[in-house]
Amino acid sequence: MATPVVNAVLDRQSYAPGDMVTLTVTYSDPDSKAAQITVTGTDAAGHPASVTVSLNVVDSVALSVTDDGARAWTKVSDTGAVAVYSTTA
Amino acid sequence: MLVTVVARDRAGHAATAMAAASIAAPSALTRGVQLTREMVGPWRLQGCARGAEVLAPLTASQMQERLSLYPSWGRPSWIPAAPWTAADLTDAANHGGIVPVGGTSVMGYQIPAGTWVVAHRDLSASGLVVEGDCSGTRAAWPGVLFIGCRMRAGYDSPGFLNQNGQSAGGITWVMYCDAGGKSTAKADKCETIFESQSYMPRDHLYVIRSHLSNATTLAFLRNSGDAAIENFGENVTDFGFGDFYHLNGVANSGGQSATLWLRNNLALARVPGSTALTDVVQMAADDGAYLGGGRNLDGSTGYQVRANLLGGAQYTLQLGYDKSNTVSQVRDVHVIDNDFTTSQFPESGEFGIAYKTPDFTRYGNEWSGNRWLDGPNAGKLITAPGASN
Repeated sequence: MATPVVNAVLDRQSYAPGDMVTLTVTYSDPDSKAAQITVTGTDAAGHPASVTVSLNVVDSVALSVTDDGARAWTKVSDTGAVAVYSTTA
Repeated sequence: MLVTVVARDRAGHAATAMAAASIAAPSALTRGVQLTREMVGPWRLQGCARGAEVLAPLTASQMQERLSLYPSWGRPSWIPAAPWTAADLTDAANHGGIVPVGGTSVMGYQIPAGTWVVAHRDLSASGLVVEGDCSGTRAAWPGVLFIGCRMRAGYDSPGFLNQNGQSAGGITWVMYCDAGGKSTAKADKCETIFESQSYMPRDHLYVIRSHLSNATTLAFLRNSGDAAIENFGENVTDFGFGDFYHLNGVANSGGQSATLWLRNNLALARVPGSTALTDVVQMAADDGAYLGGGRNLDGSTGYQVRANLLGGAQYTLQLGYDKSNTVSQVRDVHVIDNDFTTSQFPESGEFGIAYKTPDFTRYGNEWSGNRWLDGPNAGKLITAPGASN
């Protein structure tokens, strides 16, 4: 099991009190990866047949957002790789 | 503002990312006419609508704890021991602390190291006794900063702050507060909101960016160098009692060497059922002469009535040439760049702009840049009134 990867970016460098603040978080987990399973069968005459299935191995990641001002952060969206949060400055 | 994001997988492996941004001070004002009710008070500090601010109340019992270095008192239990700096300014969950070594700059004002800070509190349950260093008999006391607080109750003189007849020896800062009576109803009578006690030159009272309303006097600045800066005032009233009250906006009392009225919004309408305001800015002549020469918070000297929005009352300005003060004893008076409104009366005040007026041609007095904000003479300069008492 590996450690998740996360990055956070605010939409501005400075805000006035009362402004909307938007935070975009991109995240992933190295343990999450796509895989394919191929099953091959061969008859007595030596004729092969294969079937392949795809699957995603997902190590789910939980996000928490806090700041030094004890603001309440609201999750606006989350694609599983990019989450957007907002609060008020 | 420092934001921390923690990503944690099911196995408990965690990664952290941080993002930082600054929250700027409100835009700088150049004139009181630009100031609105929304730009002052705790709601502005918390960035929310007025009334939606979150303030932690203190009980009347808690407020019995004095701000005093007398041995049996000390710092009240509800002022945290933690360092408090301007970085904590907008954090409604932070209720203050002590300004660390080096001080901290709040909205451009340098708050001295050691200042006790009371933040985001509702202090309406009672008044507070502020004794500080007890007239210099205790260790030095830098002062107290009330920031983002509410003080709304029926305070008699001397208002929310009571010094028990002692010089506190420090600065009392009132910033982004909401203060005065609870309403203009008779039961909510509030005589004065803040009144300093003429302990010169040790004590100072600075009232900044606050909402002041529902009182017979909004602020009474009686130390040399006290200041009212960028406050929004309204509802100066006698509460319908029918007694004689001297209704003022922001006043001093005479005997000070400097006072600053800067960029306030003080267009004061008469409250229905109340007697008329006497004046909006009052330099009273009760405690001595106005000889000037003292230093204000912004570095100016003397009595500065500057860049305010002013209007209303019988006379909008009362300027110190009264009672035992002779014309040569009212000096260093600077009435500069104010906007006078006709919203209450065609001449700003019911009977005019100013009375008890010093000699603006001498004694270091100055009248310049004062204009009509509105009315038939909007934008025109107002000539200096002649000396009179």
